[in-house]
Amino acid sequence: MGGFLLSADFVFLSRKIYFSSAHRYHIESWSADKNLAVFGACNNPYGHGHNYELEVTVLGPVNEDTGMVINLTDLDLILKEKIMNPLDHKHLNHEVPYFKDRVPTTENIILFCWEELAPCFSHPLSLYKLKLYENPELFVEYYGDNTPSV
Amino acid sequence: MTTPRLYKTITFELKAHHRLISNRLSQEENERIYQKCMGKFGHGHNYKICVTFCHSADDIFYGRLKHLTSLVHSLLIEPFHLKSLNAEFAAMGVENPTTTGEQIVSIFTQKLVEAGLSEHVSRLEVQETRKNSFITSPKKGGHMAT
Repeated sequence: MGGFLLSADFVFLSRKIYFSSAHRYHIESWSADKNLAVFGACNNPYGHGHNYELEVTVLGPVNEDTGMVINLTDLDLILKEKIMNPLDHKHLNHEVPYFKDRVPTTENIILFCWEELAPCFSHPLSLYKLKLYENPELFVEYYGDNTPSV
Repeated sequence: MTTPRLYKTITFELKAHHRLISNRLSQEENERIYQKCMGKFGHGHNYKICVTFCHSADDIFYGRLKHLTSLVHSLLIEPFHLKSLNAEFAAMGVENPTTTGEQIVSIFTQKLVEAGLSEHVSRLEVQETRKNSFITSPKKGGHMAT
């Protein structure tokens, strides 16, 4: 009864991962006063840390043999290699080259995650959306070229 | 001036047993793909079934919400609560009841469509665990919502 499974339909699959990192908001070309004025306590010399939550949403057709959009084991391997290994328990300013010349704001971190993850999925599977929580009260969302929906 | 659209999400809890296994794969392939999720006797989850109703701000939706909520409960929760999804899907005639999250959300979507709810439900989410969720849209021609 293959028709029962909506083979022509796509399903969004979302997986959450958690990583803990340190960061500091600082721009080298700015004066100390300007850094302090713009970034406040986030400019403290040694930085501070967060428990980040990243929700990764991929979109694809359901394989009629496995019933899966993607095997979670395979997805977890991608997330471990591309996100957890580079970011977890790291100081983003000092240990992640992407942030050498970029302030590791939540916005820039989600762009890093998108650049790392998007090439890992090929047609008909694609990365649809990322949602990154810095803490329960602050999150950013990024859709790449996809159209955000309700 | 367009009429504002509102989205209201009702969350149901479904406690059920399942075992990931495909009758189209060999024993070795099943073990390789599903690993501990195809443990011999299966396992279970407290699934959260999140149903998002879409309606106009000026319609009489709230008068129908109780009826629609009851209807969704009768379609998606009552037949499966405290039961085995593998057994229930097989009894429904699903040829290959893998009971993955993708299949659950697809079958539940189909049930809502067949019950004529596609005009009312814009989004259906099946949360298997706090880390995994599966989303689709029963709304015909509507953009899938995340």
